[in-house]
Amino acid sequence: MFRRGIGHILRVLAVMALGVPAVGLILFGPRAPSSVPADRTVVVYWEKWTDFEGRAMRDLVAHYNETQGRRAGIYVDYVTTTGIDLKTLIATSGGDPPDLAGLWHRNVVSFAASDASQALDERAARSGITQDMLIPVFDEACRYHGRLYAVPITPAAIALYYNKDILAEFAEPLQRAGLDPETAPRTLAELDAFADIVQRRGRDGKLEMMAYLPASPDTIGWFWNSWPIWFGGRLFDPGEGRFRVDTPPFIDAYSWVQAYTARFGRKDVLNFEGSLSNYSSPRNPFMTGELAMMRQGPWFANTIRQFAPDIRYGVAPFPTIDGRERAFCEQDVLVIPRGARHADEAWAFIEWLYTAEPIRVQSRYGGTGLGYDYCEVRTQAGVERRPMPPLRPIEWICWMHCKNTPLREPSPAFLETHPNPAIEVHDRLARGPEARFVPPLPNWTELNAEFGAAYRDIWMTDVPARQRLEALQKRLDVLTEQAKRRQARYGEEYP
Amino acid sequence: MKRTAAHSDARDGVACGLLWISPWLVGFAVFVAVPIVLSGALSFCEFDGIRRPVFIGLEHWRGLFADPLVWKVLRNTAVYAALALPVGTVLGVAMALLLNQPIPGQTLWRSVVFAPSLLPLVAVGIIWTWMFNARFGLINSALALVGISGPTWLNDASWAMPSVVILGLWSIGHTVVVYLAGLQDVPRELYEASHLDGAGPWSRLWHVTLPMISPAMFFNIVVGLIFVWQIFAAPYVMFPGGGPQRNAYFYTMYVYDQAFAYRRFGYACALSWVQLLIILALTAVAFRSSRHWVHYRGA
Repeated sequence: MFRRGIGHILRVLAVMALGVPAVGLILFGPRAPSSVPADRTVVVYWEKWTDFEGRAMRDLVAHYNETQGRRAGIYVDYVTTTGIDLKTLIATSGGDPPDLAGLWHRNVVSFAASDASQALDERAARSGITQDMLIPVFDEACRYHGRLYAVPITPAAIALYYNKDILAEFAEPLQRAGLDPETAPRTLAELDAFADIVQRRGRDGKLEMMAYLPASPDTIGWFWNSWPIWFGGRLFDPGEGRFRVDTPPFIDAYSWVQAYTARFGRKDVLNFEGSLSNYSSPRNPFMTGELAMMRQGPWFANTIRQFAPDIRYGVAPFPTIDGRERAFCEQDVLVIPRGARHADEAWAFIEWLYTAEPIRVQSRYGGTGLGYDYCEVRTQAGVERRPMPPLRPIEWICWMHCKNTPLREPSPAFLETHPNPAIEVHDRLARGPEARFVPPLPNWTELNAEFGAAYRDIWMTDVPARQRLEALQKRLDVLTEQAKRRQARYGEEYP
Repeated sequence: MKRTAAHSDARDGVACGLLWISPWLVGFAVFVAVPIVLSGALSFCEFDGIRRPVFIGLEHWRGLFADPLVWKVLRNTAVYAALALPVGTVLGVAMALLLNQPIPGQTLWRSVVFAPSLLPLVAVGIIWTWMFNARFGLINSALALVGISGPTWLNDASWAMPSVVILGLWSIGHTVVVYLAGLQDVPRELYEASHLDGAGPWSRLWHVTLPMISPAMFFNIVVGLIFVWQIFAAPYVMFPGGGPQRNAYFYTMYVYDQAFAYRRFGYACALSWVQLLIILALTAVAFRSSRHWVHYRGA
């Protein structure tokens, strides 16, 4: 067929040049790590955590593999995965999901509503992981239409962190205004009063320091969608069946946010905001003293210890309109995707996390990543260093991540030795009657994106908050109707 | 007899050629052609990536005309294309003309102009986020030197679009290289003849240089047209959520959000087809108009 000659020889050489390395790669190329024992069922566990959080989970998984996993013939293979929700979804769609996936709480309902994750009620009941074992708000956030689709792994309630040294600098004017510089504001009116006094401008008149900044979602304005909670509202009323943003708590909350820029000068505030470094940095504005107060979760103690251990700070419930304690909560969760090959073994790992006897895990990567062979216990005599206490696995990982416990009855050692000295505040907030999550809606991501666009307009422009929220409501209603139709096509109800 | 042998040789050549490019052909079929066809089919379905697709007829196609965000992102993308493409073309030609001059360090300057286009777009987005920083950014610092108080680029609805256009100019290096290649090809005798005819520098540029590099300009404009209508990575990094008043929310960002954030794959497919049709139509217009302004040597 082919003419013989130089050309033919060159072609054969070309094939060999490409083919020989290919065959070599197949025969001698990369292999799965040999540390995976051949005689055990491998549970593929995708998790989003990196850095010290990832290392802590790896240590816990290694402990399981050495102990209970060995006895049960299970090996958990921890795989760090970025963009975990999307990748889990695509892998599930393709029929090759991980056996266990560490998602965000906002994924629970959207995964459950589209049948991407397995209901866990029966397994939980068999293992004795009952509803009353968990703090209600964390349990509720794992349910959709009453069924359990996830289990909490590291939950958190948000609180106010305030820099006592900065407030002390302004002690005199604060006291003149009837405010206590040693105590955090309890109401939003008090927060406003603090904000009016605790600020500094440069010679050019530009803002250099502020007491507090609501901020945009794209900078440090985390939890921007939770403001109505602190105004006494709920983010979602199940009786309503749709996401409402044109109600008084929303309008009051976002009018207050907008008034913030008006009070300090929009351009000044936006310039100041734009100059702030991001959260995970030594230049975090709380560490640099550019902000005297921040709304954060319990993990913030880790960040402070890591970047500015000398800051004297306090933690309190975030101020509310009427002084009542309210909280916005978040949590990371574990789900078993639909089609997981080793769902039983994946559940066995979850069961161990929740029901195993307290353990001591060898880990050099606790808290801040600085290395914890000990914990710090606050006594009347001061801070005392003790060996790490034994903790149930689920509490051990929450401790290492510096987060709340999901357990209704935590081990005394968990609260006593927790790396966040104010964990009791976060714990109390999570147990309160007004602890809330984001709305449990299948299309929350889309609704939240629209909400975010409206929030940016309110924060960055002078379109009145009420007007923008009313326009937003019309858009949300259209999207809700579309979501209802989509669910109806699969014989499902919305929400 | 001779003809039959020639025929057979030709057939062998085609078979051999097809065999050699078959890996690409298979890859193209599996990863491009089939997905394009499937996306057309999915545009008539409800599909969330998990549950089976449900046929819904023209609902997505009708829905996208009623979707205010579609019009918003179309407008943003069209405005961006209308600004970025002409500015990029003029600046690209101007840079190429400058870099074509016999100046000291000519190769170095060419490398400096080309180097930014090698950077990943996400990295470019992050770098420019800091360049545009209202307080510490290089741009506002430079403006302050001449007594201008710069805007809050990323937080101001009216400056969001110009920010993206300026950022787009950062990577004009590859178009400059194409223009430079075109300039090398302009015959010296044409310049000499025009000089003898009394043409000045501007006249030579207008009547000799630009017509002679018009094929390169045409190539860059067509490629640029396709590129600007697909702008995605850098604004996605710089303006999460589309920026103030969503003035930096572009078509491909919306398609991505619909597919991968909201898991409305069917709707995203319909949107993608609209984008494909727009790009095809604009490319056809560019080809049609090229008859009037693109001059090929010897044509």
